[in-house]
Formats: sequence, structure tokens, C-alpha cells
Amino acid sequence: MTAHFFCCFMKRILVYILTLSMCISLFSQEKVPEWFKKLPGKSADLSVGYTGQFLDKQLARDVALYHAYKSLAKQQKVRLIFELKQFSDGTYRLIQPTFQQIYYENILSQVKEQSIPLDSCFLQGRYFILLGYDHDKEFKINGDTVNWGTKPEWVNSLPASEDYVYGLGMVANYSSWKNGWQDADEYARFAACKNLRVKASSIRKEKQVNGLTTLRSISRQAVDTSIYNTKIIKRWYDLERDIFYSLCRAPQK
Amino acid sequence: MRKLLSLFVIVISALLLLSCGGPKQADMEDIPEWYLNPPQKEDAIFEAGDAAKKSMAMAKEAADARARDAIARTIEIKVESMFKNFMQESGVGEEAEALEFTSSVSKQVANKVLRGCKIDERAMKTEGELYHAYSLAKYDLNSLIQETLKEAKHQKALYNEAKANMSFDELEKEIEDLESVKENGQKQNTK
Repeated sequence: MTAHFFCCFMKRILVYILTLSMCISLFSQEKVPEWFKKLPGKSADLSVGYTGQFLDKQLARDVALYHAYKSLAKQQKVRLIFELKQFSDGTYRLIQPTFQQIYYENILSQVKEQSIPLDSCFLQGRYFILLGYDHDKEFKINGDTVNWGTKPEWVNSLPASEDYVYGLGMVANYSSWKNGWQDADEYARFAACKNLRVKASSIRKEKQVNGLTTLRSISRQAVDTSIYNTKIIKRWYDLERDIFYSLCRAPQK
Repeated sequence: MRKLLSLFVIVISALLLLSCGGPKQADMEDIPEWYLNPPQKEDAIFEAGDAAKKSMAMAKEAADARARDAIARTIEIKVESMFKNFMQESGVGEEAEALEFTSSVSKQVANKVLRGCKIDERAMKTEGELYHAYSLAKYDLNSLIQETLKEAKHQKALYNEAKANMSFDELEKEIEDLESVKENGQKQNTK
């Protein structure tokens, strides 16, 4: 009797697990607008706003729109302050990074006044919005939705260009989809900035005791600069490993 | 049924034991070739860095920072040897002043701004619960030359300015006083 009950219980658990995994796999085959995966127009001032899952479509639109406004304002000018300190005594290593970004209220107001939504969609409870200016309408915007596809080349090796510098942002295992993309986007912006210029300084000291050499070092890398016309131009999501990748482009000069 | 249950328990225990093995070490096959043997090019410096952390973003930041740190150290050595060669070729290599100038410049360059130091290659591996990031930083030698020239000019300007502002008046007065004392002493002795 007990064995029969146990078998039934196990079968039920198995059914639940199978249903759940099917749901997860269906859910993970997520589609996104093509312009979210790859921003169209090389010279256009476009930005993308997005939200997590919302039940209220209107509220989702407002949130996505505000995110797009902020993104467009940061795109035009943002002050990035980064500092990374590392201490090492031969046994332990401590690392302390700090990130700070400042965008400007006057630019944000200007963006709110002048920019217009060029396309938007509501997919799987998430709102996506593409923001631009009137003159950006000439760009052919493809409103199709696409899958993430296979791993792009830029994930491993950044594109080379004489005019632009690129930065990669990557984060993993985020419970919030929106936070994952936001952080990947911001890390990408900082990475591009660091590829442009970074202050590096270090003090290293070697010590020999009883034939053992220990290396003690303090190093600091810092950036405090305002950059213009930075854009998140590509995104890719690794479905298998739950990793968010963003690629940021900044002009060399 | 009991056999099935005991098998289930054994499998779960084995899995738990396996997961208690501490952080897994990187397999040699997983390590990128460019990390073990950074590329060698005439017009660029390459240095690699790595870090294993629980957070992927933190692992990437630390690996990038270590690669850039290695570039800064390589620059210090390169600039110092570059200046020493230049000083020796121009015949002032052994002068203390020149050596001091060399050392000062190389340190300044290494501790200053790295312009265009890019992360050229990157790999991310998982080792148990940890993310192991590998970064390869590239620094264009042209940037290094420009930076060194700029720094040398700056240092030279500072040196000239310091020399121009140096006041020898007081020192000259002291020497004059000393000489007059000496002369007086000699006169008294001859008397």
C-alpha cells in the first residue's frame, strides 16, 4: 500500500518536473525585436527602452519610455567615474571596484521634448520601445521579432575600427531580466571608456624569506571622463548559460 | 522498492560528496592559447590577465585590470630601456642627471594614462561555482611613443622651468663671504 502510494507520488512529481521544464524551455525560446538585438542606423541617434514583465501594458510603456529617454540622454553625454583598487600580499587578493555615472538633467529634458517613439512592441509581458528623432525616420526600421541565434563573433573578440572603440558588458545569473540587461549595458559603456583611456598605477614589492618570494602589490586603475555619442549597438543572450552580453560603441575622438 | 530507494540515496550522496570537492582547478585544455603564449608583434604589446570569482562581472573586471596592470609594467621597462639607449647613443648615457631624467620619465609614463589600451581577446570559463575570466590587453606601440614623447617634453619643460627659477643669489653671497673670510685669514697669516 505504502509502496503504491510512493510510486504514484513519484509519478506525479515527474509529471510536474516535465511540465515545468517544458514551460521553461518554451519561455526561454524568447523573441525580441530585431532592433533590440542590433540597433539600426550607424549615425542615427536611436536608443532602446525595455522593461521586465508587467501585467499593465500602459504602465510598462511608461517605464520603457522613461528608460529609453535616460538611455538616449546618456548616449549623448555621460560622465563615467570608475576606480578599481587591488591589494595583494602574496596570499590574499582584495579587489574593490566602484562605478558611478552622471547624466545631465538638461540633456534629459531636451531628449524628452524632441525625441519620438519610432517603434514599440509588447512581448511576453515585456515592453520594448525604440526612441529616436524625426530625422531618424528615414532609417528603415525592421519591426520583426527574432530569436537570439548562435553566439556572435563580437562576444569573444571585439570589432576593430579606426573610428570607434568598443566595450563588452557581460553579466550572468540574474533573477531579473531587466536588471541583467541594464547592468550588461552599463558595464559595456564603462568597458568602452576604459578602452579609450585609463589611469594605471601600481606599487610592487618582492620579499624573500627563507627562499620563498612573496609579492606584495597595490594597484589602482581609474577613469573619470565625460564621453559623447556612446551607443549600445548589439545584444546577445546565451540561453544555455544565462549570460547577458551587450556591445557598446564609442567614437575614438 | 527498497533497492530502488537505497540506490537513489547512494546516487544523491555521491553527488553531494562530489560537489564538496572545493573549487575546481582549470583544465589546461580550457586555458586559451593566447593566455599561455601572448602574441608577439612589432607594433604592439600584449599582456594577459586572469581572475576567478563568483560573480562573472567581477571576474571580468579583475582579469581586465590585471592585463592592463601588466601592460603598465611592461611599458615602464620598455620606456626605461628606450631612454637609456637613446641617452647612450647621444653620448650622455652615463651622466647622473640624464639617468635621473630617464628614470623619472619612465615612472611617469607607467603611472599615468594608458590611451588606447584595449582588451583584444576574452574568454570566460566556469570552474565549479566560479567564473574564470581570461583577458588579453593590447597596447599600440604608436600610443606608447606618442605618450613618451609628450611626457619627455613635459619633463623637459619642468626641468628648464625649475632651472630658470632657481635662485643662486644667496648661494653666491655665501661663497663670496666665505672667500672674503679666507682671504682675510691668509693676510693675517702672512703678517
